[in-house]
Amino acid sequence: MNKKIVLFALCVFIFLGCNKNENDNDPERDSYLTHFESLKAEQDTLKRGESTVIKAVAIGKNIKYSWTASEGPILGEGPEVKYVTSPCCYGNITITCIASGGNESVTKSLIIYVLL
Amino acid sequence: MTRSICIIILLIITHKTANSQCCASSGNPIGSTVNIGLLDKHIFRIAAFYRFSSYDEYYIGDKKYSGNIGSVEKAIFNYVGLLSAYGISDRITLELETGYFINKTHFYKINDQKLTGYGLADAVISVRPRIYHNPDKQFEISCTFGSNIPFSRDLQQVNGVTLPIDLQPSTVSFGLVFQSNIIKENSFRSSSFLLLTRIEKYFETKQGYTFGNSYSNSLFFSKFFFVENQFLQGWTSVLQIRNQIRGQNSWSDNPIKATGNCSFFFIPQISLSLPHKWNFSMLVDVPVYQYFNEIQLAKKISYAISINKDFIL
Repeated sequence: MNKKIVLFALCVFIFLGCNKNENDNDPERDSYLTHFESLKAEQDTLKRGESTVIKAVAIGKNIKYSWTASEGPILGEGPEVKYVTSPCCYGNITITCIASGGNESVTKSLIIYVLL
Repeated sequence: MTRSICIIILLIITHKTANSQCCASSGNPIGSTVNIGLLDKHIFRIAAFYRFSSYDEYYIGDKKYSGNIGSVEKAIFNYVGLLSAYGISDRITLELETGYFINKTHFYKINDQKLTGYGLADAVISVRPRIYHNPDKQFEISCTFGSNIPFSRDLQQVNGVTLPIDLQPSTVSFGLVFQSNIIKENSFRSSSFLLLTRIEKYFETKQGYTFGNSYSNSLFFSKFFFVENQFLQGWTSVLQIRNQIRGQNSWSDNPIKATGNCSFFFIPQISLSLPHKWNFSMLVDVPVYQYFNEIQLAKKISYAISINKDFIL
């Protein structure tokens, strides 16, 4: 009896899982990018051991942000992240942000100088 | 001869992932060939292993660094690997290895944040020919030529952030591996010596990053102790001393100064020979001496377990 109940529950679960229209709550469908306004760091010069907040401002809806640093880690996600210096990395560090919405994507970069 | 080679196999398997490092300064995981030893013709060997490593202290040169430049509080990785080998003939063995990083995590001092990479590492395909074999003197020389093949050439992103190169599960670069293995056995004493020399060369990634070359030497001494009961057929004590020199990484042909190191490890190991040709092994990497260019995160400890079995095909 218990096996039948478990089997039935499993079937319902699979059915509901399959039946869900992925587009119902898909942010991609309702996403657009009008303008990537700015990309700024609170500090553009850092000593090793320091960090700085970087903000991207883009106009649109359900915008996705993709971040890359030429060296060292970026913490956080979304339009505001934090760049953290590493012992290994100094000199010019390029931070790149890609803002995407719908079929549009715009890339902006800035340079942070890390002192030796 | 066969038994002790088999036992040495295990320790070298686990030794292999010692090369998988996790931390910025220490370098990225270097996929490297497995050392499963020469197999007899038509023998298929499969081995699985797990390794954990932890890093929590910065070094400058060979001294601990207590300044505030380092942003990582602690780094760890958990790695599982799968190795297989097949004896095409008594003189040539083909090997294939791959692995998966369950996690590769940096815990940062800032706001208790962390970054984690995970996923498939690299695959290494290699061929191991026998160079010299003297059964009377129980002496054998073989070598390995292999190539490292990354599962991805793109850097991994997590939550929209590209992970630093040190947290990437794959080297994202192709590479070459050469290794020589010199084995001297003494079946009367059930002991053996193995000297293993290994060179790893990695090519530039498509992002312009190049890992430094790695040179390592490992000296193993193993002694087999016979036991006869239904659960255990014997066990082997293995002592290994390993030296590893890693060259500086470079970015667009510019050397990154705070990379590259020279390390010595003491690695004790126990291997159990179980019925039906199963072997189980465990080891601990203990750093004895570590020297780093500039300031880098140093390995604290690492341990590994592995299990393998032979099949006749």
